[in-house]
Amino acid sequence: METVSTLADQATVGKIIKNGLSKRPVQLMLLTLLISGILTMLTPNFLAQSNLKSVAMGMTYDLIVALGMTYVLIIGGLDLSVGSNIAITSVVTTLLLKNGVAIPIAILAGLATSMIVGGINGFFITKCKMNPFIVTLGTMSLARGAAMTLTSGYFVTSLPKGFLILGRGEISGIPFPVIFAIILVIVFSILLNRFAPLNRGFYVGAHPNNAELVGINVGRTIFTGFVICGLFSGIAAIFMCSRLAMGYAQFGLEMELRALAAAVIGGAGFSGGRGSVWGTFFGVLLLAIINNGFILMDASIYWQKVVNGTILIVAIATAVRNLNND
Amino acid sequence: MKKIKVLFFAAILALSASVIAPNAFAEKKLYGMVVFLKGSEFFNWAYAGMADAAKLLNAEIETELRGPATWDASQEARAIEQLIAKGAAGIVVTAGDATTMNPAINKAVARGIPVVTFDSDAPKSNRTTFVGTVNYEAGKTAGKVMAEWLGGKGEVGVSTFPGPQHLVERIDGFKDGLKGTDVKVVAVANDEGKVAKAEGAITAMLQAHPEIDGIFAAHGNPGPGAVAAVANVGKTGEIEIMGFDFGGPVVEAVSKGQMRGTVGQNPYLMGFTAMMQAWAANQKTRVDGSHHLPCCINTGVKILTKKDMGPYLKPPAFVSGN
Repeated sequence: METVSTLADQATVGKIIKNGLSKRPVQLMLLTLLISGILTMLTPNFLAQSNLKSVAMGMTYDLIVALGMTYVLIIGGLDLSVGSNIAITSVVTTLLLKNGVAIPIAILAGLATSMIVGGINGFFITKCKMNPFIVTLGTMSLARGAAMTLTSGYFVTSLPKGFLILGRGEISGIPFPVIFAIILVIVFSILLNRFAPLNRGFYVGAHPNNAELVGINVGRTIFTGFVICGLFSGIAAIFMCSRLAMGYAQFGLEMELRALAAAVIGGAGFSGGRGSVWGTFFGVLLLAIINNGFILMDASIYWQKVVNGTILIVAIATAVRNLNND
Repeated sequence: MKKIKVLFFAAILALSASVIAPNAFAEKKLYGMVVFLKGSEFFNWAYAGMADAAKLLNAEIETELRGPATWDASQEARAIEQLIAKGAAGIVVTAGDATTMNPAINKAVARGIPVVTFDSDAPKSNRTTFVGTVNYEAGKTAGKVMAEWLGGKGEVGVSTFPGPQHLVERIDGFKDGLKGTDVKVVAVANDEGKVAKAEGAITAMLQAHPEIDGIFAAHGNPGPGAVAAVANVGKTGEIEIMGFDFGGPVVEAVSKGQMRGTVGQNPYLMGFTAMMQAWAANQKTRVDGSHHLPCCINTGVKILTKKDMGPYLKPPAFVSGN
């Protein structure tokens, strides 16, 4: 899979394969199929078209954000500001729309906002050599605060009809955001594998010092990684605003936790150099199906929270174990 | 010489009096509101109520809104400490959680500053009184109206999330409100408290229970998600949706007839009444010992439907404070 870096030496490649991370997406896919099979047997509603649609739609925002998180983890970073970035992007975009700004311009301005948040993260991490955890914890609070201040906590509603097509339109029953997310997964996985500027992120994350020595601009790679992650949050925000027909300063709460969990389940770690687009995809899918199953089976909402928390801890514990093994 | 000294002394006295006097005598009495989520629409309504009550009571009363922009009870406790330090005459506060702020509240009360909790209580503190919705009663009202809407027979799904005690009370009340009818709650979905998660959760619930003909969105966020979920399963117009509170999207959905109604709490009255109570606690009465504030004041709820939406289309403007 895309964990194989063209720049990595044979030893690194060997180590990655030994760790079995390249098999992670396959394991997750089998696990997803198994759980889906059980759910299908237990409740006929699982395979109903409207249920599958709502599962797909429900996981789309998480998926887009988790892809950005995966890349940030690959380059050895961490981004806690993704959820707040969604909030500020949603607020900027919808406030512009409400004030009569043309739809494409409002969207571009929103995406630019999300990239600026990512850029601020990247700047302080690369130029000031600050810890990503501290920096993104700061922007997490800053972006949420800015979104609150801009809206005073009110929902931004009454958006133009044309804007709502983006989130609510469908092609043969599949919502636009789902189609977009699937294309994004495919394109991003190919780019991460083949496109050198993205691909070198694996090497930068795993061996930043070596990368510097072989002439890679480590700072630029990391900076770009955070901007990409910001942009992905922004894209998720635009779809969210359009589908829900509102902007809201409380959008994306706890998104960083879910994105982290999915990326880590999918094989990313905190030591950098690991992570897989398809692994993350199945990580998000797995979490979505488990939660859907809970509701279909009429299980207690309290247990749902316990199980989600357990999955998160197990995923992070795995990542930390991998970190210690390095 | 002595005369000059006396004159000089008198001049200084007069001068200092003139400097101090405007502050000492025209000093406004400060009443602070502390919330756990500053900028929340709900608390803007409450603060508007407080400011109006203050205006009505006395032009010399100054109000101030404090609190973190992200949900944080410990920062609220700090805001109370700051108000004490500023010499506030009264504090009106909604508790981010039931215990964290107890020491700060008790400190204020120990210094003779009345503390009125509103919306979310801190029952184990020494707070002067509580003003807010009795959530059990609110849920019960919602249950009775839902039973009416369904003609006394049907099945209802509830959208909520685990954690807050007030949601548990609301849903208990809702179930009791349905008692004596053939309407029952058949499913509870976890919307995780989020706008963006509600649609998926409620769609799944409608899949599992195709016989559902009513949805109770037990807090402010899942209402619009319920509208989308009903559309997902192709049952628009067949399922009655009751929301909670009057946030923008809920008002929009009720106005468009996508939701049948919403449970309207009264944050404005909470802020207004809390201000009145805090002020009252500071007043001397003609009869010694006659001055007891009630432990709790219920500001009640009303089920708001399409025809009630007018005033809610224009919520109060945000009022800034420190």
